[in-house]
Amino acid sequence: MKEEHVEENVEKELHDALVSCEKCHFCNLVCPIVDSRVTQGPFGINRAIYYGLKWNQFNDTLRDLVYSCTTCNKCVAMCKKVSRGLPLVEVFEKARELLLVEKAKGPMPEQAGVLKNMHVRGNPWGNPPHERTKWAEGLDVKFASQDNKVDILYFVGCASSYDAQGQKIAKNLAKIFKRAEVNFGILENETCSGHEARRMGEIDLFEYLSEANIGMFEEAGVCDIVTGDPHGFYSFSQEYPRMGNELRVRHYSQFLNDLMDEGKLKLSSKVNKKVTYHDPCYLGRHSEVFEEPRKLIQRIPGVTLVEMENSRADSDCCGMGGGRMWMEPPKGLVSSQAIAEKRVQQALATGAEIVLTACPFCNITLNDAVKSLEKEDSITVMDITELISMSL
Amino acid sequence: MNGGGEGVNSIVCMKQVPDTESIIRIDGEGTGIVEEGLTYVANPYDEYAVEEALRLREKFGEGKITVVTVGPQRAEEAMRYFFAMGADEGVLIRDDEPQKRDSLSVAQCLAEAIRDMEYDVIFCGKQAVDDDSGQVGAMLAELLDIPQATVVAKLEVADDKKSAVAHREIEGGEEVIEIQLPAVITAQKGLNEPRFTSLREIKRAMSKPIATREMRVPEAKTRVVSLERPPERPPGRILEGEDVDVVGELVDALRNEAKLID
Amino acid sequence: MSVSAEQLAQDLRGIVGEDYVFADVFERMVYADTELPYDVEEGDLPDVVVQPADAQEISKILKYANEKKVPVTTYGSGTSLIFGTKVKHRGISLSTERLDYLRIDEDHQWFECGAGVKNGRLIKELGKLGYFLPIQTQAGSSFGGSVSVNTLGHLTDNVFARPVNNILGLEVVLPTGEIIETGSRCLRRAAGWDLAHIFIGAEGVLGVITKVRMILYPMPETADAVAFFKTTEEIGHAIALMYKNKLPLPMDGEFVGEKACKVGYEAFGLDFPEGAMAITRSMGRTKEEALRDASELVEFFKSVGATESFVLEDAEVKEKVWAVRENAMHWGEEKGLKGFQAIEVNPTLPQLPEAIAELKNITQGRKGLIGQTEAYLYGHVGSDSLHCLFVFPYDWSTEKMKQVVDEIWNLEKELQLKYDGVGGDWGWLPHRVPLFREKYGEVSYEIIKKMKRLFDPNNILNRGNIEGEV
Repeated sequence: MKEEHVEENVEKELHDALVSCEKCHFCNLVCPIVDSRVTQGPFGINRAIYYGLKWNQFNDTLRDLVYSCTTCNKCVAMCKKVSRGLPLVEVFEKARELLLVEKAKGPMPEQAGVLKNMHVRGNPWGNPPHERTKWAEGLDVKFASQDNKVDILYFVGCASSYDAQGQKIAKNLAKIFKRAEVNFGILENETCSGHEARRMGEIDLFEYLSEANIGMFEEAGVCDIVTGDPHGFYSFSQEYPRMGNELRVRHYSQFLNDLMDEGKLKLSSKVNKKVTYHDPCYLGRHSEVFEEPRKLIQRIPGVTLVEMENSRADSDCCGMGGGRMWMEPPKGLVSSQAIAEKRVQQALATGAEIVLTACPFCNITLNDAVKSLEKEDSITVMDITELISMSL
Repeated sequence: MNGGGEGVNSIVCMKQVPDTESIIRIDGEGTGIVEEGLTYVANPYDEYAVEEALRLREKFGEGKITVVTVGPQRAEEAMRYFFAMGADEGVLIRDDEPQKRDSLSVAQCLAEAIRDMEYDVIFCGKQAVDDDSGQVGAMLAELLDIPQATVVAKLEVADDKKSAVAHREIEGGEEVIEIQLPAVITAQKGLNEPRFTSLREIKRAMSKPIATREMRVPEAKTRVVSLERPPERPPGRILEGEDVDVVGELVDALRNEAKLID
Repeated sequence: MSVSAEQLAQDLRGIVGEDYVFADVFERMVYADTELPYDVEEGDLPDVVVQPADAQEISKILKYANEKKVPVTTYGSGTSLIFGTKVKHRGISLSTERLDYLRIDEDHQWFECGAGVKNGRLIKELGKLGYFLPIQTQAGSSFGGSVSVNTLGHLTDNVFARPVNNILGLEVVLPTGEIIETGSRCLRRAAGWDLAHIFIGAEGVLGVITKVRMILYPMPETADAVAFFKTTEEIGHAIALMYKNKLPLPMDGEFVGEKACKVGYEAFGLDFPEGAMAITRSMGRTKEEALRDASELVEFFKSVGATESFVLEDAEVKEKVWAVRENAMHWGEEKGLKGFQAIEVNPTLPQLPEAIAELKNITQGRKGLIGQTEAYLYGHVGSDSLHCLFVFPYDWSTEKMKQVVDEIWNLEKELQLKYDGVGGDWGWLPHRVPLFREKYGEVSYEIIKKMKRLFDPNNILNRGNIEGEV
């Protein structure tokens, strides 16, 4: 994706992208935020943007609609398959950019502080920057630098650095890397990948953060990144400027499979569990990494993998992408909790004891939904790394 | 002095401070902090101040908002954030040794610069989050011989701009006062919700003018004798076991270790 | 109407509650948008959108509307291809979205659902239990809308009964607010008077259908077959003969004309025989029955000149064949055209080949804006229905698009009159009113208008549709 911020032409770009909408409503059939109000869902949002531009009206309702999308991309796949192939999510993100940068109408009020935190403290929750690597204390994890050369840079991400549930992923991955004798390190001053900033329309903040990280990659002399965060994975692979062929980016589900193929990682303990796998939107649908996580799961001895009703490219969103982690939509638009609970119900229907995922956001959200549904006794949410860790 | 005419003119006094989540290191002399490596931001309470100035201007339709600060060159960055929010121009009273000042010398510099400006209201934050002194606003009002309302949680300016009603947050209650304008108002958290501003807006604000004033900064009448970190808080202890078993242990610890109950 | 938009919204909140009345421009505009190729204008918007929970709330709304003389337009999914949901007189847009109750009762062998249930959901839920929905419209269309138009979608008429014959009962709110129920819970349909027949097919102008009870239809086994012909006319000829020879009719079938086939083959890199293509779906209680019927059709197609014909057993080939038909949304894109308007022509069987030949070249030498469009011919094998998709530049002005849309409907009228067709599966109102009047005469048209006056003396419900206002 090219970086093009053309202020005057953005409105025309959006108009041209939306004008050929056939109004068939197929997109609404697969959208996680569609409930009873037609105005949410890709059709409603797309029309709102189209006419907002045409009639030069930009109000809070428009903002609420445009920001209600989780950017899961199901509508894009549907529109491409059966209709005009509108780049809906790209359009919504561009519209957010327009609202935020040009019309002073974005982001959602609760997200303002989040963006400021990303800018000043390098993470959305405003946690102290010097505590970002605290999770690694006592785990003998190297800080990558010219003096401390590493083969693999493990990019941890904000959620895995600061959130208790997310930290499990980082700790387990560090443990697994050590067991496989991977020469890895983390950035001492790692900062937010900027992915969510971009999803919320703060394109300049995304640029600022991406430049900062790229600078650190270059300074540490790294060219091989592994991450457990699909959002970072997607941004590094598709959106970070000047990376292209210079840098290799893998999600751990790809890297760990490679390690196993090379005989460097062996799993010996049997984990006799029936599990199901939730495809994170930014690993699955956006990056088309469907099989590696499944292959990895099935390499864990004793594990039985069953699929949910909607999986792989049809996988349903957990509800937290697109900036929704930090906002609750206004009453009447579908809540993130409802979206996550729907997905947990699908997992419960498989009879699995564990729903595995490969994304800290999904992990946190689905875990909250299991609690709100009071199904802690029926199912547990785990990152794949946790199960692998149990099998080392 | 009163602005007069249409619209309302405001001055916003701002201080650039270290972000509260920075690691603060005491310097070698033990009377100041190490500035290198710190992330600096506009004082959070000053954001409420500039936001109120912006809303006041929106109410009256027009007017000028000037940001004034005493500080080193880097303070311009914080000023630009306020420009991005909507302030029009700034005055930087250049001071390369901010840690050597006290509230009075800062207030004196501000008064010197502001004395000849046109304004209906001077907004300040109620205190700066680095030294928590909370005196500059009040001192400034005295030096300019204008009234003041501090720790203001709600402000209503009269249509003729001659007076305002200020709701002040005081310990255990609220004091509502009527005050003649021009006056100094120091902002409390909750006075308003500061508007979001984008990095693009900050870039655009690069074109707004900042006038640098050189002036002799008056000698501080107070000085920092020593600066110490607070004592390390001992880690918490988690009591394991069933509620019914643990309660006794908890009561014992509260009584004998923490000495919080008899 | 005798009340302001603000007051209207306020009064409706009193009936359905705060959360289900929408007055913001961005909400109203979605309810104004139809599949018409040109933009909505501010004058096309309803004053307010309301989402009632049940027939009782709808009853209150309609009584209020009669009192204040506020026009009410019903909205199921807004996907009507005759654009029946287009708001022509502002007022209230009444959405059936919340009438989403669904009960599938295998003991009684019927299902009941609210008018706002979408067909896609019905198909999925019925499918889980091994039942089939004998209406094939797009998944997002509302069941209430489908029933009020009495559509089969593209299923074959002689194979399936229309909804009216499969429906055991309705709950309807009359335009004046009274609520009635029809039919019964047994499986026998009533002979003689069944008031449901008044509303099913009335296209929403005589009452608001709120609940439907329909029989459960067991899921048939199916087998698809494909036949390639050099020309589309040959397909028309084949279809006519298929009936005459008493062959087992396919439950559904599509054909794609030569021009559209070419686009599809190129788009998917397919090595299929040049010309037109027909796909049939045969059904049976068992797979053997379905395959047997499909094979019979294959033999038949070969006997009437198909260059190639075979049963689609290979999943990959089957997917490719269907993709050519499903590519319909992209016809015209190869020429950079995206605005479109479709028509339906139902020629009598003996006239099929002639009609196809005419439609194939329909834009050539034509004066007016139609001459500037591209036309793609396709249709349904078995359901005696030809479609022509006209595509034009989507950056034409609204005025120009309105004009070409008018021309196209007018052309459809001429063709339906010429080929003795009946009006197509999308209903008559409002764009086919001129056709109705010319075909059936003013006496017949007056009957519809009289019935309307009887049920809806204040002309509250879907005003403008019977009048043919576009």
